[in-house]
Amino acid sequence: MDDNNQPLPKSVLLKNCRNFISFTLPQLLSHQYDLVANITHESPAEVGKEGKRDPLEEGSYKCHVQHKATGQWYEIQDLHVKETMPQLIGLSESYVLIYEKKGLA
Amino acid sequence: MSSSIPNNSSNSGQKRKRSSSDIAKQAKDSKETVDKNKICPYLDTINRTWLDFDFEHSCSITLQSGPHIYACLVCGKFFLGRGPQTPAHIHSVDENGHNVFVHLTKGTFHCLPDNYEIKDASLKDISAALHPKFTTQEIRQIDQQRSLSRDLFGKQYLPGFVGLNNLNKTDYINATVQALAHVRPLRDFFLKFGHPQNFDSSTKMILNNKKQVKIDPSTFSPLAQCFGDLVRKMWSDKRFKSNIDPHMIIQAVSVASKKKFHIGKQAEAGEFMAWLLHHLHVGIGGSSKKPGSSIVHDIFQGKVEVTTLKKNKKPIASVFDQKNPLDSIATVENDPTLVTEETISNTHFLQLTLDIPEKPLFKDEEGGLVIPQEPLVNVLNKFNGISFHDALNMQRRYRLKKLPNYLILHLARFKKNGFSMEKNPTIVAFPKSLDLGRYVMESEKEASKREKKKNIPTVEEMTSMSVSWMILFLNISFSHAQMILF
Repeated sequence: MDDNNQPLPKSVLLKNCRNFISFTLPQLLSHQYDLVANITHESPAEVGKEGKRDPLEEGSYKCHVQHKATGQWYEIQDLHVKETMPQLIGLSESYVLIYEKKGLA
Repeated sequence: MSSSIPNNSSNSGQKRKRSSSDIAKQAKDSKETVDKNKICPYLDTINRTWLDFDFEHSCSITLQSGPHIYACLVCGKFFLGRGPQTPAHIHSVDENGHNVFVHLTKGTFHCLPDNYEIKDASLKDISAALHPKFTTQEIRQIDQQRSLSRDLFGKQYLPGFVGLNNLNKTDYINATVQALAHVRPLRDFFLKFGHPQNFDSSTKMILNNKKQVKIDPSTFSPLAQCFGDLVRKMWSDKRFKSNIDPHMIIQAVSVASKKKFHIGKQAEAGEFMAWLLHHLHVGIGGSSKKPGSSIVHDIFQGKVEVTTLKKNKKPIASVFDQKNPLDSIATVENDPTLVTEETISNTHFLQLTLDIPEKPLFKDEEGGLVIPQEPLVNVLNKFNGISFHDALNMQRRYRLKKLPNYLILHLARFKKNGFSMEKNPTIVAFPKSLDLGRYVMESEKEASKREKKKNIPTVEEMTSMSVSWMILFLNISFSHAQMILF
């Protein structure tokens, strides 16, 4: 409210704005990341309950990756490659995630 | 007829060394050999559907592996060759019509037992299947590629999205390789710096941190070469079959890790990822001591500041030296003989390991365990730079100093409990796009930059501006839009 009563000189204000756009904004955006790959580990439901078998031995790994040109996500489990929905990836039992900084391309 | 050709050419080679008088005759000779090379009568015997270059390049008779392994293009078997008495030579004599061979490392084609090199444009597809090559143009456009490719059997596949064979509990290697093969700069590096035999000596490359590194694919470690081979095969659109057998890399992993990661034994993908990245870094010429000395560090390395609080027994002498005992009681509440020691260290990391909260002890009504859900933001709080976390008789605080271009998060799901392995099934809900701005502390460099430029407002200052201020700001921005934009 004080600012309203005593407006800054135009030149200072302008400088502030320019600095904000050229310096603070890019810095803010520089920590934005996008998902590129997701490795999940799934073990059969009964393994966790019994607690007897080794979840690492019984489980299997999958990898989710995105096709850049179409934006389609693919789920790859060894030889099986199939299209998948991005909503399902967010709910998977993820184990290793790789994120890419925005605006690198 | 054709057996006289190699003699001719070798003779002319010897002559070239001895005397330079009859150049004209040599030229005629060599021209003749080139002409004769072009008409190899056995090219139509090649059986492309039998060819598979994914298997380990070792002789099927002597089991030797080495630089002189040839593949018979008629039956697909690998032999040591190609001089007289070698398995490849014997194979070409024994079997009727098995005369065309390819050198598996050099990619040159030979006719045995006549022993001359074949140069024919119709063999290009075999070269491409053996050692896929990418031009700079192709690498730049690879992410725009939408079309499906067709393998020899008519099956369609999308380059870069091909299945990898599971050789017996090696799915963790497959998943890790798939993930890394989609990290753009790493993939482009290995697509560009291709097979050493097809590459003209050392090239220099400038990393993001302005450091210049020498790159010579022929000095890459076997593991790095196999990884590069696999990445190139995965992104090739000229494959003979639409899936890949990762034999070579798994062999190389097994050798390099001294069987820690081996066929038939499951392992943690997170642990393997860290191991593989380190060995790739060293394998392509990075130094294990200097940070940022290879493209792997360039892509994945970040910096974290670790503050450790450790309670130590106070040296007895200093206890007696204390003039004011009240002071020491104030610093250490429970035990006056303990002091808290604070150490700050900066560590480089290639991946961040996140701890997942323990699963609940109690079961639900149906007797099953409740699978808890946790947003990734909560799990990331380990690195907020405020709270201390308990470690073995000490406390640690993590503060992110620098984030890499590609951030690997490893959710520590597996825990050794006595002799058995336990897995934490908590579902960590993670977003497609992540903002880590609030976890990164401003480095001193940037802070001093801000000091110098006094008029740089922070976000808080900008948002705390009153509405009229904003209107004024917009007015001025519009009137000076050109100034701001240009």
